[in-house]
Amino acid sequence: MTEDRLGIVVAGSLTAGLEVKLDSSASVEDMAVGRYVVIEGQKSSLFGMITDISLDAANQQMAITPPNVSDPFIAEVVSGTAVFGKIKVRPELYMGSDAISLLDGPQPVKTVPSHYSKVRSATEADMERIFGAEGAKHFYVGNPLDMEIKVCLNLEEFVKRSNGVFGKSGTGKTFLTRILLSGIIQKDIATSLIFDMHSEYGWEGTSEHSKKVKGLKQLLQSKLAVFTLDEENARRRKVSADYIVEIGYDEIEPQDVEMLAQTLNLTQPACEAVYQFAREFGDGKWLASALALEGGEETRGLLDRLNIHESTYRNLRRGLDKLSRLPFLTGHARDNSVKRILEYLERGVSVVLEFGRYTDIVAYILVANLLTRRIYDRYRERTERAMGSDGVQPQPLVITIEEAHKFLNPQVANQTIFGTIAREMRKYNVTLLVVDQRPSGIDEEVMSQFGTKATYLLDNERDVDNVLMGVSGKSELRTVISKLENKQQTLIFGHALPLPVVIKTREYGSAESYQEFGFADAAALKRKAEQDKEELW
Amino acid sequence: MSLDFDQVAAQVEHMVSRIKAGEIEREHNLRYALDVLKTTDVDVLEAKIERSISTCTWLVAGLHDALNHTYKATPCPSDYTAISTDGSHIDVDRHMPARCCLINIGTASISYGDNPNALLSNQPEMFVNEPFLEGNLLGLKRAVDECLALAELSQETPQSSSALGLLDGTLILWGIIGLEYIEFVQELLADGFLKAMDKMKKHRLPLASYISYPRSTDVANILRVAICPFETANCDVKCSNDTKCSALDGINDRDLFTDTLVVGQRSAIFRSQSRIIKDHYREHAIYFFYLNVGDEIARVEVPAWVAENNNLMEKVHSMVLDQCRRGHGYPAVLTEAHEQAVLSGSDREQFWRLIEMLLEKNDLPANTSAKSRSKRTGWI
Amino acid sequence: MSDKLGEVIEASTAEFTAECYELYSAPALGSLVKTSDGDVQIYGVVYNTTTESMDPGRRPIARGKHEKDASDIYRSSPQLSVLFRTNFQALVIGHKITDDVNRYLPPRPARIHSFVCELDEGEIKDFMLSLDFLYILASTPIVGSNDEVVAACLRNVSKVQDDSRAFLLKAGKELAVLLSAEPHRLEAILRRIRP
Repeated sequence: MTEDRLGIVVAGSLTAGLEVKLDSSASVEDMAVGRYVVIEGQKSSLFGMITDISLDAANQQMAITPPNVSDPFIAEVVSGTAVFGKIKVRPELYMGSDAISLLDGPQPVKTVPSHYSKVRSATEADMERIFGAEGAKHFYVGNPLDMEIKVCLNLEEFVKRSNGVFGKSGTGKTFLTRILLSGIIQKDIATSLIFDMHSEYGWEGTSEHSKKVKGLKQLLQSKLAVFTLDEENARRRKVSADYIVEIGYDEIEPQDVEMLAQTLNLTQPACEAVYQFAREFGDGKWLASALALEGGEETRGLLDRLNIHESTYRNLRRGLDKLSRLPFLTGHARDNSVKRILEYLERGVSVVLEFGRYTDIVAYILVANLLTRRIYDRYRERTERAMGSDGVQPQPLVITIEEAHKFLNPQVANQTIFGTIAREMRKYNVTLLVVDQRPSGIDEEVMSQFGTKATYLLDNERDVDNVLMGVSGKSELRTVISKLENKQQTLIFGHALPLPVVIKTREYGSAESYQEFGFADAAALKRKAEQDKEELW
Repeated sequence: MSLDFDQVAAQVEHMVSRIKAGEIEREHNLRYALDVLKTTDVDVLEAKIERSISTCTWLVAGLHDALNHTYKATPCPSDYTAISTDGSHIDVDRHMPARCCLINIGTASISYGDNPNALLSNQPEMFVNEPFLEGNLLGLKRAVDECLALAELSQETPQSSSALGLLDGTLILWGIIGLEYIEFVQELLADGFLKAMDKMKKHRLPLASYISYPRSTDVANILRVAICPFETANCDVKCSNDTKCSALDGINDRDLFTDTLVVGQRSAIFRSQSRIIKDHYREHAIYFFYLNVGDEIARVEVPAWVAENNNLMEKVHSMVLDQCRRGHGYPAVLTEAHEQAVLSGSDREQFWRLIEMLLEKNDLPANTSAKSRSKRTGWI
Repeated sequence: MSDKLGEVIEASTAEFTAECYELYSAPALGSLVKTSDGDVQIYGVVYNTTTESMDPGRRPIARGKHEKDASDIYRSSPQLSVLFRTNFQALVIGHKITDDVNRYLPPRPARIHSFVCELDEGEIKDFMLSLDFLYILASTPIVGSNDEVVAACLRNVSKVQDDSRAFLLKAGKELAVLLSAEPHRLEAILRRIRP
């Protein structure tokens, strides 16, 4: 193990991190922020992450009059001795060496190691001890920097709380989300409802180089159904959708409209008018009725009666007209989509809802909000019933939403169903998997409730701040985030894993990687899909 | 108290002026002496010396070959070994708790040529409660011991090889004058000196002794005999104060040969007419010659068996010269023997301290005289 | 002991002086030598060698004016080689008791007249497994320059190492820590040992 020795602890504190003087054999140039080290204390070892790297000299004179380093021998001698590197290590976990501690596994640190404790690179065995090996609950998501070992998430822990995947666009959020979902569904940890705004999760998605990558359907087969709002689009993409979702006017409630106030440019009185209409026409009929209003006396009389100002009405009417232009919105739907989705979910089949061409944010917010609220209600009802009669609780549900700041921004977070789910945690077996490129737009309180967060590179200071909300050692992690590479590298931290870790996301897209995930041969898949469909109908 | 140099300086100045005056007269005398040296008829002179030898006050050297001949040195052999001994002693100190003395004989053997080598050593010997052994007698014993050690050392040089035995000072044991009746002295001569000489003679060692800066006048005295106006020099009877030979006052042998010998040359051989030799030296009569070694005129004494052997004489001449060259004007082997023998002040001090210490350790009286203590401690 | 070079004529805990059996045959500056105190082998680094007249009262004089070659002086005055003696001083850097090699001072100094000889290759390699002795070598006040001795010693012992560059690098790093407060000294030594 001596080759792995990096240096010794020379100073530091539990809160500010430990200072480690590098041995002469360890080059600063080989260090990297985010890398893991093990500090061998006398009674136990500590596991920590490199959060900063610096240069120092034993004597100031060395800095003022540098030795003749043009001589390679002299340069090699002084490096690491007279001048040396230092790393800052954030202690994360404590690993006792006695039998009981071994059984308990790594524990949060409560103290610092003694002076001059040896520090070495974490080995694969160490990492495995920390991150667990792949298994029923542990799912391989990526590799630590420069290491071959697998970082595994405890998925059971993961789905207990709402989680977030953040990063500026193009960094790999969708890839990670797809990987996470495949794990959750494949291992039967939870079912998921995925609001797939850009149709990337279902049958196939695109990678950065516009290369096609296989979607979840190809992997999960009968465990996943692809629903679409845009049948034509699905057909054009040669995707066999399991179900075409239509939403009837009767399914839209006033609060769905209120959610859209910002996007539809509705004024406050206009939102209130919606509720007045609902009272006037009845919950199921108000939209159809409102849309049916002609500009005549009758309408004016109604408005007067309801005390709705003419301009408010016009504002509301513009918004509702916009809604009504959404093709999947019909006066009366052929089928109850919510019911259908629930059917699938209850059978343990996850659902990807593709939006097809309707990538308009209005459609996304409306549909996501509407469906989620209904589904959540159902889950709550079932959970409460189960609790009352010691019955079987529903399988946990993970609702995956993109552009999450639209649902969880501070203005609406208190009112939307998503805010409720995020705050309630797993109370009713429903949690969120939030994918967002602008985490600063998400309500701080909601953000701090997230169990596990994975963040790719973020440019904006405020985004970083918000992601790290409520996390200890914020400043060190901030450094780590800012040093992430443009792609594929992500910092994951939170409940599902013992300590923050920077990983290179597990490969997804090559033939071998598919095999590892358990994809079947493409032709066989196709056949199987057809078969499933037939069975279903 | 330290010396009063004010007073001394004045007296030194006076001395210098007197020497200056004497120098002029001496120069005059020297020129005259040299003139005599060149013009004297040797055969006539030899007879006159024979006649005068017992009546002349001066110690006159005997002529051996000629008076004013000079000899060039033959080439010195490149391979040869020079051996030498020298001694020093610590005399009995009556202020000390024990009556004892010490003789330290240093020996040097230096080989030149293809296998250069040097063996230097010293051998101290202590004498306790020897009734006569102090002062002059101790000096005499030391001189004899030096000869014995050299004789011993000579045995280690192969007979055929080139070797040189060299002693410091004179071979004439002037110290025995007046002491010949003492049995101890007779033994020293018979069992010591003469045996050593016999040994070296038998070994045919070119033996010589070297006298640096000699003040002897043996040869100058020959000139006195030469200019003596009487048939036979009989100073006591014929001359009182003012004599003719006073024209040679202040001239010694060295002065004569400074002018006549060029560097490397030696003078003719002369015979010492000392009574000691006649009485005690048997066949080991002492001859001498003067040698210009470059920096000075040295007197070299050799026993008869060297003087009479041309081969040994040539060796002595060339090797002594070579030794002086190597020794920067003084025979190198003599220097080394001397350095081996020499006893420094601190050696002497330690010698006595050692004796005191060992006496005390054995609970024997180790009282030193008050004078001795006072000299050593220098208290106020 | 084989190949003895001389013997101890003066000894203290931290150093010893040995007189060579042969004139001018002292081990090179920075060589590792050993002597003993009974069963304890004492290791030292040669830091100073002197050749001088045996007799403090006799000073050498210039002799070679007429000689072609300086060695001729010794031929024409053979006594010179016995009138001078060569002594070397070694700084004690460690010792060996039974089979334990320690890189610190022995309990007692070497005994007078103990033989002194050079360490053989195996002993050097053994001793150099740890470079703790550099502290003694770099910090004990000696006649002359510690830095020169350190450099000479490392150059010498690096020659018997299998990978001399790696050895010098390791030693350099040890020095860099020891002399972190004296960068000029450090660099001076490094310039003297760089491979």
